[in-house]
Amino acid sequence: MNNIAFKQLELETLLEITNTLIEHEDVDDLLQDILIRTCGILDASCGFVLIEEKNSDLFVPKAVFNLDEKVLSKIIFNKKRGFLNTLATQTEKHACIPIETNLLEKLEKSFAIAAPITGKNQLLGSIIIFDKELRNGMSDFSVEDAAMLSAISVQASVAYNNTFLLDTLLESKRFNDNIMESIHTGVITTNLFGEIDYVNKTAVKIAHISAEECMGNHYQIVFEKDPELLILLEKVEQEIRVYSEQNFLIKVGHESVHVNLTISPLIDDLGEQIGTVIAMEDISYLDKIKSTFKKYVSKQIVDKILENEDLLNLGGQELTLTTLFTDIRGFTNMSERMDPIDVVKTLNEYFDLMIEVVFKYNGTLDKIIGDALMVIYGAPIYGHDDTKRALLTAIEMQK
Amino acid sequence: MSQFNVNIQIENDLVILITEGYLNNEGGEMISGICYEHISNGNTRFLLDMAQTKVVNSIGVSILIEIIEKLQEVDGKLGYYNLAPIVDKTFKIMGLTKYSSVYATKEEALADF
Repeated sequence: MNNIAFKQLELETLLEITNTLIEHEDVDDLLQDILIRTCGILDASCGFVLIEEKNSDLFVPKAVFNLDEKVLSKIIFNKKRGFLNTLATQTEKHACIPIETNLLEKLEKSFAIAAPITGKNQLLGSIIIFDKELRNGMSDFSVEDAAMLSAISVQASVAYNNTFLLDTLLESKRFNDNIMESIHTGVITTNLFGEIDYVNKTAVKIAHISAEECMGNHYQIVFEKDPELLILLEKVEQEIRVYSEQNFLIKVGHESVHVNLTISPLIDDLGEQIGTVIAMEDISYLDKIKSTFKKYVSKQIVDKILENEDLLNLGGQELTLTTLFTDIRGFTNMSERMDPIDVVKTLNEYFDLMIEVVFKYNGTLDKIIGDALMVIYGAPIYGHDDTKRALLTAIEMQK
Repeated sequence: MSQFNVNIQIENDLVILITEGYLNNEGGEMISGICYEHISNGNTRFLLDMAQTKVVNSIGVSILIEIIEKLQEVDGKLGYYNLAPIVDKTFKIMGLTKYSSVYATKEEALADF
């Protein structure tokens, strides 16, 4: 066979390796490709690629070609011993070396050569190929073969480090994405042009919007139903400062929602604005709590409780309370002479007026028994003037 | 462990060898054994479907050249289709394509054979 043709093939293969290896995004695919091409160009009968395990001295096979993987999996490859130790400590970083005899015996091979895969001056892996094929048998690899393998290992090291870096970046991005998707705050970001470039799941849920419809569109379009929000966004853009609004009614999707809203400029690590972050916390559940609670206590007490849940002692406590009982004198006789519908109507009107007075003096409506009200003062929140307020309630009720 | 396999189809005296695996010494010997047997039976046209052979080495190539030399004695021909780009390039550089033909598809190959 023509030697020049062989040389050309070797160089073309090396160039192919360089070009093709940078296209791989998956590390395992990359290593398998390296191995197959290396075996082909160097006429090796088989081979495998070892890569170090994280935080360990052990290396494991990540690509195997023409070898029994079961046999390979039983062998321990330790960086502190054998050919791996030599590769890790040799001064000529990409030199190829033979492997130990007992390893050849285990794999039932006659000849082998190993090249390092390196990164940051450390051994990250190794390409090991076996038994150079001749027309009528096998032979050891030549000095030229070692030089070719060494050249391949340099390219492979660069490609591996790049792919590994990409893997790490993707993993980091996935982690950040998982965080954003898990938090209870809705987050929407815009780029420097005002175009929406990120919407997390919580924002989709809170604002009743579709991420696909928002992405890439300018916030002027996405939030066109909410002029107040648009004004805030423009302010943040112009003034490059944070704006916060409590209990903001956001009108983006087909529903309006109460949120605590914070709009901040998005700043990069050089201190330059690169967009905007809109963070929203759904507080519509608080409205539900308030509307449930406000049947029994005044709005002021609800607000106080929501500000400080410690005021609520659900386990019970001994307190000194003032209790007010009210009654309509002669109601029984009156109701006997009235139409039942009129009784209910009258009672409702009466209770509306009475409860208004109770709440005015921050009483807690404990129960309604027929035409009677039981109101307590001093729970859920104690006041030093509980008794006074009870008396004032009673006086005003009679007016 | 990768094994080299060959499936054979015969279409109108044309012998199609569908290869699978590493075309090295072992693989080459298998192909040559099949080809020589069929040559002795009077077949002179051979096609290799190499879709499942992604890597060849120089020994495999040299065996293919031997097959071509044998076919030249009986006025026969050898072709290949479904080559992986790296295999295609190897065949070109090693000079195989001067004496045998590469086709993109089976249909193209059959049309020329």
